[in-house]
Amino acid sequence: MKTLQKTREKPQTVSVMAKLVSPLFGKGYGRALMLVGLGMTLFITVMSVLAPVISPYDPTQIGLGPPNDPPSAQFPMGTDQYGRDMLSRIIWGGRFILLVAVTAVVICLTIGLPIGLASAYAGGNVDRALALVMDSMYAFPGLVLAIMLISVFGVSIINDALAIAVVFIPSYFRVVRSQVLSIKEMPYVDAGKSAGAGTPAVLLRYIWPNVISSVIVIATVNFADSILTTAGLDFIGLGLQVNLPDWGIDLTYGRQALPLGVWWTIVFSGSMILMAALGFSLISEGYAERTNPKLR
Amino acid sequence: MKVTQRERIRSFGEILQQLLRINSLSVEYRTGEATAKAVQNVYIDLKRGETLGLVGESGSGKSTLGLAVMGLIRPPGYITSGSITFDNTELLTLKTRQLREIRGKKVAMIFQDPMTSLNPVKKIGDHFVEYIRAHDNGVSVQDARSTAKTVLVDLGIPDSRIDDYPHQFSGGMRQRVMIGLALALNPSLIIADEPTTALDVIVEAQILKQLAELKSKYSLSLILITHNMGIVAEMADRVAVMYAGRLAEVAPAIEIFESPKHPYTQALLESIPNILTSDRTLKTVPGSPPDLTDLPAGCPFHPRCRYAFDRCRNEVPQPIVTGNDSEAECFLLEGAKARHS
Amino acid sequence: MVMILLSIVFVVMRVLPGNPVLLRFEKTADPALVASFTHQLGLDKPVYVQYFEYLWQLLHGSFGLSMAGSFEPVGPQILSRFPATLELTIYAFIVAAIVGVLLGTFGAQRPGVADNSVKIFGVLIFAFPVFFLGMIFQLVFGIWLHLLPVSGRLSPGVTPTSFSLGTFHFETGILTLDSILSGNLTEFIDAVRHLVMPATALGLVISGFFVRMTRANMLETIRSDFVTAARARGLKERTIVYSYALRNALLPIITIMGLQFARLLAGAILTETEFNLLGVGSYLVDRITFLDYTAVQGTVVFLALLISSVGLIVDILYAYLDPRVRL
Repeated sequence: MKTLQKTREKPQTVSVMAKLVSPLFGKGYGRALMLVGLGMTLFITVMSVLAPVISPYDPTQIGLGPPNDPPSAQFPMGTDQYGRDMLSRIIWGGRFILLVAVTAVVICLTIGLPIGLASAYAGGNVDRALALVMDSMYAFPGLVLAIMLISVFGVSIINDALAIAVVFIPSYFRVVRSQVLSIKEMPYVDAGKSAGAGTPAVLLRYIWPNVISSVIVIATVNFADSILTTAGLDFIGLGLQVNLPDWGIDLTYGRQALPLGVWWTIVFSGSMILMAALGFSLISEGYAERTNPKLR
Repeated sequence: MKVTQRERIRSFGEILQQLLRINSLSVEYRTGEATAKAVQNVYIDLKRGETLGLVGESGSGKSTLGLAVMGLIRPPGYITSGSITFDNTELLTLKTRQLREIRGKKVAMIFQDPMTSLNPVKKIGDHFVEYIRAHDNGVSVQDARSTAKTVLVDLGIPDSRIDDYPHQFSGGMRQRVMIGLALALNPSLIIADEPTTALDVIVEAQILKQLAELKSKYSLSLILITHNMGIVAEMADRVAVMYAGRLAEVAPAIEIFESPKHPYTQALLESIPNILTSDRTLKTVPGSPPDLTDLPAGCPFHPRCRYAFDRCRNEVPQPIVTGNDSEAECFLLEGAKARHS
Repeated sequence: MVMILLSIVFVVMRVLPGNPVLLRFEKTADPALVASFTHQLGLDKPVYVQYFEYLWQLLHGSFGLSMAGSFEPVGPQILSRFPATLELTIYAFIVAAIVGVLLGTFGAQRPGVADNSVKIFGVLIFAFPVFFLGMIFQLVFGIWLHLLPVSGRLSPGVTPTSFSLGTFHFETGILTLDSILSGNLTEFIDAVRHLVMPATALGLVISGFFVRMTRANMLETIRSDFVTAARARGLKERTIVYSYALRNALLPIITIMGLQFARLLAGAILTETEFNLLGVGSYLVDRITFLDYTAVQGTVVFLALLISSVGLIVDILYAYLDPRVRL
């Protein structure tokens, strides 16, 4: 008996990991989406991480070139109204946004996942009460809550991330909970239980593998959403402090120069925000496409 | 020498009597990965006023055949060869508009699951009105509604329920509504695809009885698609047995039950539990129906056939005449062919 | 549900930071001034008293007093900016719904390249930062092509008029509506020209969601039995697509529309700021710059109430449209 159990432990973890990564292989439209999305996100991540190394100029240095200068050989993306090099600003500009996004997702995962799992598994009145609270928070726009929190607590990575996380946790909760609830009732779980599996085993072997693919979809959407919200906050002026380069802030500055026909400041910054959000969205869409039962 | 049905030359009288002729029809389903041969080279002959029982397991192609007659085969399904002649009109070459005129008006279909066959947001009466007026928009809403009421009453549904929604009816009543819709425009042919499979036995008996009455009252031809031999025994004049997209056997009902020629038909009949015999073991057909995307060579039934021999594995049997109005696709009958000629 | 939202808002705004007045006036050292401010705003009472007082005030339609100098009630300020937001969101929603449903239906009916393009469009446009899209519009249509006005609701020189009959005066603040009612064609055209870009930008972004949902639901519905049965009855394909497939496919989407409204509001905040429209969204942003916490709180509460009401309306609407729920 003991040897039998042992041989079954290992393949489980391997197969779960394999299941996670498998949508990357094979052919088809879903895979293409995922690859494009991954490409975009990796590009942006690498660019942001390597910013100090690859940035041609200091992004905060004013007066490097003539203000509002169109793209040229010296400044491939032009300069903003303070004469700063746009290319450098673009390279550096994603850091804050990405950091906030990562923090938000981490918070969501650490809080939303366990609560969803536990609540659904426990069931009963606690579950129902939690579901009610989550549902009422579900529809609230993240931006508004973020505005509220920030106005009181001030701006920082943690605050932005917290605001975004708080609004997104209900989504995790719901998705995880519905998955758990539907699987909990299935006959094969009872079969496992009658074979002697205890609670942690049931959770791990039956429920977790099914939940994880939904979580990935939600997490990537969460990323995209936080990027957009953070950029939005920056745009309103509730982003980070003034002197750090940031795509959202560049959009605000660029806006002032618009009537002069200065398109480069906004086009490049805006496109980067778009690429970041799009990258994650494509991963989400591609992954969902590959893991869902296919509609002909 | 006896000639198969499709080869036979018909007299003028016979042609007049022939309502539907499906000749060498083949239908495929092409998905990205594979192609499933749902129907292969099927020949069906239907006279006016006749009831044909189309029997087979799931996946035998019987539903596809019904859909083909209605012109409801859509991509990824494709009709790859053959012809369907209804009332001397070739259906497969008709344009959509012409086909729409026949569909629902001259040929009507009843579907299997009454729970999902009606539009949940439309009242029952509106189903009728829309349908009647789609085929003849000269009809006023009033007139259409009274026709609807008449039909409903005919089927045992009080006409006061004409403004109710589908979810307010039970399964049996919904099926009756479906039948009512099928009959509303006086078609000459009704194709009933497993009309009672989703219903319990008592309701099933009622529905079948109703169908039989309506059939004689309106002189309808009926193709009854089912996997239930009992229904077939009760209702059918002739029976066509399908297996893996091919016609295993066609014969008058009595002949099918008294002396089935094809091994598959025999197995089907044997597997019906019979309370009268003392034998207490259930006879089944070993194996399972073939994968339509990966059919075995030769006769599709040979992997499960107790009589299979070499020729069966390599050659596809063609229809062999076994009687006045019957034929079957099996090499075992070649001897019989020789005997009859 | 509403209560929970309200409570959360209150907790964040009042309980957590302690005294908002202190926050505002951190720099100013004069304790007497701070004390009088605090007292005027009723903030020196114990927290739970404040909570109930706030609720009580709300029930009476008061959203608190602004901290910006003159202690004006926040409520009327919000209300005066509300029509602009309403107008924007309604038109944006219409754009989103039309684009979304049409594209979704189109994609569902034509599998292959067309369908994939529709899917990608849905993802792409939803990921678009709404203010960026607005800026691109401004750049292209406003500055390069000089076709449309870049900001505001009306051009200078165009005065809003509203309907009046004798002493009866009816003004909604929704410029497109008022101008029609009062027969002022110039105003109407001008208002529309100012609305085109913001409404389209916002609408397009939101449409991404509708495109995907409609497409998914249509695909499923078009495959269902009652659609095949309807076809078997010889009904026209167009009837089948709209009256059978779409009608049923859209039903579940209505329930989710309430959620999308929240997104619409968030987008409206950004769009209003971008296009200089004086709506509730830009009011919120504005008040934060002035550190007017009570106004911010009031506005957030207002928005929460708005979202909840829309949710409620949507539920009622759904019940009306789906006969299965009605009985």
